[in-house]
Amino acid sequence: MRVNQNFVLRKIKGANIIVPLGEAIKKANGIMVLNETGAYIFEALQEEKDFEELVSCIMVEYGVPLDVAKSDTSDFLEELRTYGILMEEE
Amino acid sequence: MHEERIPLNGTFELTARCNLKCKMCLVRVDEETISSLGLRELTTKEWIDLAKQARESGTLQLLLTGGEPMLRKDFCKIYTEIYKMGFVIVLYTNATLVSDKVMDVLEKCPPHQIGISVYGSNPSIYEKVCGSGNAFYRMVDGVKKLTTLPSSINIRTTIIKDNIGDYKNIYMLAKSFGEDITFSRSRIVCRTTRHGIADVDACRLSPEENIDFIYGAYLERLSKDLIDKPIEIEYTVEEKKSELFGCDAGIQSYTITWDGKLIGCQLLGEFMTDPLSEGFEKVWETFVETVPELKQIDTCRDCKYKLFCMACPALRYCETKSLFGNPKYLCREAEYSHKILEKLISTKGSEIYENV
Repeated sequence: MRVNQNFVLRKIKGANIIVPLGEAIKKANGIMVLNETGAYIFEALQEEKDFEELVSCIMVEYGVPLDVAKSDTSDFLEELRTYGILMEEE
Repeated sequence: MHEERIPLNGTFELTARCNLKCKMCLVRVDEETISSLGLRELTTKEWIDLAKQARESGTLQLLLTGGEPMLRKDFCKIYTEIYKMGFVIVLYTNATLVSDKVMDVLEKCPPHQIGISVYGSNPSIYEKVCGSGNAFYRMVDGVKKLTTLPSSINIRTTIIKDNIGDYKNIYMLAKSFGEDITFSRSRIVCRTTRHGIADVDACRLSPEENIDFIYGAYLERLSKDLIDKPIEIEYTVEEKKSELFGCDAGIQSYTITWDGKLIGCQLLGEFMTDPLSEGFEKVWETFVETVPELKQIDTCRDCKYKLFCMACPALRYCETKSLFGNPKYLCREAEYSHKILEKLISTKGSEIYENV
């Protein structure tokens, strides 16, 4: 999985803002504000990664245990799916 | 001290020229005036460079407007390059120049919002207001194309003497273009800003007519309530912020004029800095130093109608060409609004309700 390239991350004075562009506007015509962890995941998923790889990255970056990393990541990815931000191979 | 200033909302006035000649246009300048002033519009590269710099400085939302921006031969190039930078794009247009080439670009890069100005429901009104009856057909064709995009569409109108009788039809026409389309009308038609050439006084409603028009619907609703339950109205005026202009202008928003100056808002014609020679970031920082403290005007301080007054430095500038002038049109509006409200209270609405 990776993030849809039609969503751009803007960092403005400490705020992480996702702007949809092009086709993405059909599903999400508005901005989304991410916290630091959300922005980290968004940037990590600029390249293809599977769920386990992403969870490992988060454990290393934030020093959280496996179950917490899995649960939080899973919730966030679901949010990204809702707005068409996540691209996954069938 | 100023709160943190971030140039979040930008307006790029890509041109002041327009293919229409709307009688009430705030901005429109013709080519003769531009050359007689010794000014020039920015080039393709200058607009794209300024957008890059604005992005770096924190601009999130960018309004592309005019004049009519699609009149520029390089509109598609400027638009595409700016779009890629990741702004929330708002595009204002009269929808009469939506060519296939423009649509190809907008389909690939749909604006987040499009504001379309519509000033009449038939060619005859367009001829009177905009100087071209055929423009009506081109507008209808353009709106139909633009509504195929996933963008939010807002149809905007301005009411003057020539189209006030057509207002309900304009509204119906706007709504006929799609259920999701929003509709708005200008609160006030003010005199031109900067080098604008329109003779607004000759076409706008009188202050009293404008208030009757703007508040008609509200009064109807208010008066219905008042008939059943009298209300007490407390007269309080929230003191405006003293910083800069008392609004977001120069604090979180700015305009780059068609000739390349950074100003507080599109209505203002003073306090200009020059991003072309000094760079966007620097002139945004120094802009605040160019604006003196704008104290409340003496003659306005004790005005009994100030609760109803629309005046801000930009409107004062347009109306009087001075930030400290007394905008008589707005004074009359405020006095008339006060009179209506007093009458509304004393008659519990019934008398006014019958007249609206």
